[in-house]
Amino acid sequence: MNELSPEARRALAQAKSGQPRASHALRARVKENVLRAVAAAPGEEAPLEAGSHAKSIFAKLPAWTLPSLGAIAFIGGIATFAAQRESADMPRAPQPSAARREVPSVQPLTAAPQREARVQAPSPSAAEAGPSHANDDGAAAHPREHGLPAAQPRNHEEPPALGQRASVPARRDNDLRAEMQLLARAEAALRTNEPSSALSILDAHARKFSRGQLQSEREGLRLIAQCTLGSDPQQVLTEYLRDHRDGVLQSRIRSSCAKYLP
Amino acid sequence: MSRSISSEPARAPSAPPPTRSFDVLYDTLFDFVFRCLRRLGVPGAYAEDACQEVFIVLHRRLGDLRSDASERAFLFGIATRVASQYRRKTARHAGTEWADHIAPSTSTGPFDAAAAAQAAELLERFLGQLDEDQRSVFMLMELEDFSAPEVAEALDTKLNTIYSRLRLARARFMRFLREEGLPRE
Repeated sequence: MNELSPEARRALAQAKSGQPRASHALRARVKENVLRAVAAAPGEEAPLEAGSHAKSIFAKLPAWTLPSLGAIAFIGGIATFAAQRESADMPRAPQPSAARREVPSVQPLTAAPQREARVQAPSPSAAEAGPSHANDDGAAAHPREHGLPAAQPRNHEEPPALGQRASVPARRDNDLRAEMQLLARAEAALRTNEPSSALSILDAHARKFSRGQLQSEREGLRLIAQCTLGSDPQQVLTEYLRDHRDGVLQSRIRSSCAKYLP
Repeated sequence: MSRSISSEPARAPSAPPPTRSFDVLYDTLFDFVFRCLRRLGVPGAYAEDACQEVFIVLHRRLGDLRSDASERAFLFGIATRVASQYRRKTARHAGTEWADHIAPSTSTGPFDAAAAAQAAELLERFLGQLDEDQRSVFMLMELEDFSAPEVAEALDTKLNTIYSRLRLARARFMRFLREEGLPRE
């Protein structure tokens, strides 16, 4: 194979020393945005808040669009709340999954469908048409079967979907923050050599966020707490170390649990 | 409350468990991703967005990363796709574009810094002349110290093809340097 000459190698080495490097601020900003985006919409492409691309999308929208979207989301949220309260005591109709799928997610560029939904929402005739199209077993799911006025199920379907979609990212963001706070408290308890209280905080985390995003961190801290307390975590320790070979807690777990490791 | 770690996401019993932590991968490979994106033609103004997209995809696909697979190769695969989307969106910028979020050079003095920046600019011009296949191979093997099998994995290409592309890219690099006035051996 052609080898590079020493001069070419030198040129490459010099180019490597002048290669682009990201600043610490950029690193931190990108990580924060990534975690926020993932927490906001796992499994979906979330809008990226701080990036210039996201900014450029918003910049293309007319000035009235964002306030309008905010108002729609607010109205949708209120409608959801009202519909949920009123339907709480009645037998639940089959979920209008097809209709729910058709409602566009709240993305910056979906202003047109949302405006459409806003126009349709107060219309009683549209409300009657909605559920019967949406449900597979239309007769059984029709709102009048439950003795409800026709307009209410409409409220239960379209505007709530918009309101719910708008609130989910914020809720997940809050969840992640709450998870981090709990784990920070557990960390603090470990630092002050209070493994029992760390364990109870971790138990609280597990109860509240059984499917949370920081499960592996929780279990890592739990192992440290158990080892500090003197209870042998046995197989769990081996499993954890095997499954998280590059985990950030590896070295701490190894030093805390050294006597239980083979 | 169970003391086990059974609350981890369910995995197929036969598949090896994902062993990488996102934080570790982010911290160790951020610079690599950033460099690759820039060298794959993402303009500086879009590098931050592109990095975000790469790591969002990584976060979601962490479970797909086999324990025996190269993390760099996996990330490069993602970066290649993201970069190609950005290239389509934006015309490739000529020359080196130093955005304000780029850290200062590690060179020791102003002369070194100027020489390094000039060499980097030269390299970027050369990379811009290569087609995507040769550019990826040259970049990974000559600049990122990938092994040939690792590149083959990253590009999902046969090993012989990788060697062939490297040979062609090296020959072009030598020719490019001669044209630019670099003295011959």
